[in-house]
Amino acid sequence: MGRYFGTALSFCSIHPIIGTMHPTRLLVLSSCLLALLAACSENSGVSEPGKPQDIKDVRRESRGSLVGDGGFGVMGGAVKDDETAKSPIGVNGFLWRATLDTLSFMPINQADPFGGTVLTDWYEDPKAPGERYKVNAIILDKTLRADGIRVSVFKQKLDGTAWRDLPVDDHLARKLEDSILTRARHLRIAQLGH
Amino acid sequence: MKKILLGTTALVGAVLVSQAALADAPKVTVGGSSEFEAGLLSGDDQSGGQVNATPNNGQSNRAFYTRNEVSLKVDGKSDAGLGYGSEIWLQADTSGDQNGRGVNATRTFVYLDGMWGRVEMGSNYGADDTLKVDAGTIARATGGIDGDWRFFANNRLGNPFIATSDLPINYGATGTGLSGAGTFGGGTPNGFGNQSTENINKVTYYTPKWYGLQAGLSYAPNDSNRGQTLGRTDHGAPITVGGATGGVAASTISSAHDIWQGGIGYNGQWNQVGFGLSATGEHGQADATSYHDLNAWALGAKASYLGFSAAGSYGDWGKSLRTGTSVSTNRFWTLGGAYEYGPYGLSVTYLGSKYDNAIASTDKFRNIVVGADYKLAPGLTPYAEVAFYNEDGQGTGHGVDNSGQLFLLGTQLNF
Repeated sequence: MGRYFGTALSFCSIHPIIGTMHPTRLLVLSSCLLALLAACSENSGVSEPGKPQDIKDVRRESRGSLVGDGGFGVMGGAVKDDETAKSPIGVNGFLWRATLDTLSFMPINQADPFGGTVLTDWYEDPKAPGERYKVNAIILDKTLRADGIRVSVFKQKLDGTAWRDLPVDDHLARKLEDSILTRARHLRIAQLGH
Repeated sequence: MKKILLGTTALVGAVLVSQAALADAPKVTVGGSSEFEAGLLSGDDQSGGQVNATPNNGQSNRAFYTRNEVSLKVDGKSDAGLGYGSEIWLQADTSGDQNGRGVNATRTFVYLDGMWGRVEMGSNYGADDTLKVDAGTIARATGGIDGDWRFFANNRLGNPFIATSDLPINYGATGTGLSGAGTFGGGTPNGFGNQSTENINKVTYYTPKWYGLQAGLSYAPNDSNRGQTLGRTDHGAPITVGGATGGVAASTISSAHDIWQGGIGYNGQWNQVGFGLSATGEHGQADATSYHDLNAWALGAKASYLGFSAAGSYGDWGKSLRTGTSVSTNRFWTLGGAYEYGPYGLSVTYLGSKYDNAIASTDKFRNIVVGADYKLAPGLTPYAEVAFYNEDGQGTGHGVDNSGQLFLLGTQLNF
């Protein structure tokens, strides 16, 4: 690339102050700047695919659309009617079935298809006696959405003759949610025939 | 430790079920926009008099303009989570595209994306175009200094000017963006940047957004390689730009090959203050011998607070694709402010520029555009815009000015 390309970025190397800085101080300054950028980021540090757009497209999209965001679908993709419950229950049918499928290895204590709640009983893995788990799953919407399911996991450890509550890593609940959502998507795809 | 690990195994095992397939059914979406504008110009015509000064014997001062585009978008996701698709933006007017960007379509590309970033391949905008920040970023109506005034105004001098906040390739400098006199009513913004090389065939990679930061890099083998046209000249003759005025030679500019367009953009939020930064650049090899390579850059910034926003930029074309030693003053700067309240929006944007002409003098250009728009209904936005532009030729044979005031009224329908 030409020596002039990125002149703006090479500015620091010739700036009278920055150019004379010790490399260690420059590294510390750069780290602080990155930390400041991270603190101010609108994305809260989540890396995600980006689709930069020309300002003309941004202006066009900001003005809305006669037929809904993104135009109208002519084939394939999400058909919203199928995501909402044509089923008789009160919550999204795919999420409901996916939740029951995913938690089927545990005893179900309560399942309310209209309220969208699945509460398991305490489950102790025979291979790991002395620890038991309980899961509460709540389906929040009639549509199949990434934030349409909330899972809580509870854990107890046998201490002598009494069960004591223990903290559970949030990561486990999130993995259960991801699994339920993945299963729900498979069920939807299977129903749509794709 | 083992018991704890085993204790979680059953639950963890459940989450491992059915993790493989993530495929989404592909979808095809149709959209687009339809615009109509009426323009009224008060200013110089091609011969130095005022437009409409002599009815039936000169240039009219009014015209209607339409722009219609239909977009076809295909989006899918593979089993492995790879996003893929295509976008085709069809030109749907009863005339050719006045930007000189194509006959049937203005953009066509295939893309791949994932957590690793995004690749776009085709006739498309470059990374320095999509990542830049300048006054036009916050402009309302048709886009202020980068808007549709170019289709109505007269480049009476025929001199090359930098009239929009673009770097050379996006400006159309190596196409017809710098050359000739723009004709009111004819719509072709020659000399005011017709973006004729904005959508040359290229491959672009964008990084994922990381804490609001994103970078992009585009590569185009040749500035005449667009769509099915495989222009591969890499030793072509220079292009004549501008008109010979008063016997003074017109400027020349070389075409380019092996073109890189890149940029870094940042968008952040701190409390209620939003801000953005950009650094963009273009580099390429000049086709003609004894001409300087393409090396241009621009910096931009914007800030917003409670509906108010301000933005500005500075760009330098350097000696890009020019010949000689007295052609180094080719730069532009922009400044703008805007206010948005509910469906209403108002903006004022300014652009100033200097461009060395063939006789070692620097021609100047200024433009102030005031624009307003109103979201009448979802997808329906009427707008009004007023542009006050001034061409200031310098040096022997270039010492003529042209100033114009353009009033635009229009509406955009998106679907």
